[in-house]
Amino acid sequence: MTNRIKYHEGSKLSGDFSNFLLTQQVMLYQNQEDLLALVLDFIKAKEEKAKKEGILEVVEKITSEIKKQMQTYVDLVTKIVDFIYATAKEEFKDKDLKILVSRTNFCFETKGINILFIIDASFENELTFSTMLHEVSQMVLEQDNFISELFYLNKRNIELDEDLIMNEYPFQRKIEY
Amino acid sequence: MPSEKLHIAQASHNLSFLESFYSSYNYSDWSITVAFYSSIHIVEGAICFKKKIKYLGKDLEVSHSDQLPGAIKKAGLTVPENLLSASHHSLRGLIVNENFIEIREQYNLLYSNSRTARYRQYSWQKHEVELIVKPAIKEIIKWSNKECATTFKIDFK
Repeated sequence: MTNRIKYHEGSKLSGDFSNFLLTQQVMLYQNQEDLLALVLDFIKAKEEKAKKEGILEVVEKITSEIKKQMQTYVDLVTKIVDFIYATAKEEFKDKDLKILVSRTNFCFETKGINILFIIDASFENELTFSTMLHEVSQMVLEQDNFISELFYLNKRNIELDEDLIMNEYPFQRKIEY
Repeated sequence: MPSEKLHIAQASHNLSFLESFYSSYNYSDWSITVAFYSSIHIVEGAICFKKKIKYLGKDLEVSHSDQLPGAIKKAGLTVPENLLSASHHSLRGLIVNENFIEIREQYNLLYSNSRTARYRQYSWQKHEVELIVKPAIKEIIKWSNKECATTFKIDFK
């Protein structure tokens, strides 16, 4: 027996066939309920698979972007701290100023940059350090497009509220001055 | 937004308050805070007076520091990535650092010390406030009177 369909042009066949909606096409067959169920099950399964894959793809994309942004943010905070340590080491080489510690808080939502430097210094050097901080802040804005707030606290002859500082700036940079 | 007149009035009020207790040295923690808040109003008055500021070298029309984010966007300039989280103090600081160079050291000194005052449990020695408050506020007043035609004065006695 000749398989007549085999000799039909595919386009011709599908041209007629596709004029019907899928559900209407189902009506052309016997056991239409079974076929309809089969079709709907198949579509549902494909939809679910596509949703899962789509969501996964979107989630992966978002996670990757967030990770990238977080990395940039943490890198920048670290870069600022290290730059200030390095500059202070050079500029205050033989002067009465020492950075004792630097602390920060990270807010990944807002990407706010707040860094506190606790120093031990004479008043004259404290002034120079203050100037250096706002120069660095301006540089960060121009070069890295981030607003940063850099503060200092001169510990000389005063008692500090360490708990409050740790609470507001929980992260301390491990660094040797 | 308060007008230039209101900023001047508030700055004068704060300066007069500072004058009233400064020399007793009993409230030196407050001297730092009041001096900083006086300088805030002097600076805001100056922004209002000048009506134009520079931001990363570009001219922007701004009459209050709070308008800076909008002006940056309006001018099509690159918006800092964390602009939305920037505090009012931070925005004002940006303006001072680029536009009011003559007073930026004094302004930042008052800002940093007022922000960190609570970590030192508000304890200030007489010589510290003498070194910080007096010269800073005098310089800021002198600058404003010259640049913005104000008539601020303070007598520390």
